[in-house]
Amino acid sequence: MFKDYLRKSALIIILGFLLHLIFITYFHTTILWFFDRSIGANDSVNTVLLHTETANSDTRALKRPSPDLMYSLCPYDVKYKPLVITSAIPDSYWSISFYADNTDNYVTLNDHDIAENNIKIYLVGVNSEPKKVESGIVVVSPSNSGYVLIRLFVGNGENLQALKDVQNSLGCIEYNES
Amino acid sequence: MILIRKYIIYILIIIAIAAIFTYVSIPIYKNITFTKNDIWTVSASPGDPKRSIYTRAYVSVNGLLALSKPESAYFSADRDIEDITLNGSTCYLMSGHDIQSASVSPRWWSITVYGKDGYLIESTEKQYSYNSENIIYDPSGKFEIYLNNMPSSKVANWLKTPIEEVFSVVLRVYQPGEEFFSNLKRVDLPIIEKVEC
Repeated sequence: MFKDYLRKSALIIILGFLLHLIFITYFHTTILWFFDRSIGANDSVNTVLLHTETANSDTRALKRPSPDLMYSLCPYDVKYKPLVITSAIPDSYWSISFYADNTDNYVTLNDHDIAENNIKIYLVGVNSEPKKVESGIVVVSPSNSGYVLIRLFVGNGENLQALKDVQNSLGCIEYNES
Repeated sequence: MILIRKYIIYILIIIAIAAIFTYVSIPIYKNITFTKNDIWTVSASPGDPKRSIYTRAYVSVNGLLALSKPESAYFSADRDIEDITLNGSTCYLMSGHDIQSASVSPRWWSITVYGKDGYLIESTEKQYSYNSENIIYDPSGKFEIYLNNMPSSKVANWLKTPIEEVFSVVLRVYQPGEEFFSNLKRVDLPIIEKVEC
């Protein structure tokens, strides 16, 4: 009787642990669901959804936002068509980071990596590689959907208008091969 | 009917155990695996695709869409040098050298205070952080930041903390170089100590 009780208890704990591993593995999907809802990404992708000036105490889109950065976010879906991302590059710190649908940061480029004043990036999915690309950088996404996050360092805040212009130059549109 | 009820109870117990394991394991995992440098805790590459499922879960909760090495390092502190939890009812002094003039030279760095919910603390002054370009240094290249709900006339830099609540401080270091990442345990970082208000 006691042995049977122990066996059942052990089995329940093992099953609980295995279920916990599933919870942990897919934990980010719950967080992303709330995140997508807060920024409206459930209804709209392949467009710039979030342009922030510097974060303040009302900022709720992301936990622990940096008040020293201006963020722009483009949630993407490249299952059928690649995405073309264009932006001006400032003289100060600028970076573009690509995140898979499980939030893995698979590529980051910053202003030091780019020689020109403008950048053009083709973001392609596993099955959406275009037949030809004009000049630009090709980034391959490991998943069909994800996020592109652009960070601009505001420093002492003297160049805020110039940084806003850079932010407004951001394009995030589907690539239509003609 | 009794058998079905019994199995439903078993399933509910399994779900409860899984939820408890999940709730408890994320902070435990952080304490065991993240690198410690005095008061600071850092994950070497929190956004890395090769990170563990626990790191991914921790980052999802505490700082979604984190960068990976070598772009940035995020150090966080929720305790002072006496290992006591940071609390807004106490006055603290954070002091350190300009991180850019240390043996490594990051592109830029910043120090930010967050409330226990992980968001910025309401402040009429809108000064939520200091970075390497807007912080005021003393003539020897050191800096001090007073951490309290009210400013101090003795310290040039002040970050507001919540009243009577715990808080945390995050130090971001951007593009610090490979040497910095291989030396995370020993790099010279600011300290936070309790002071008289």
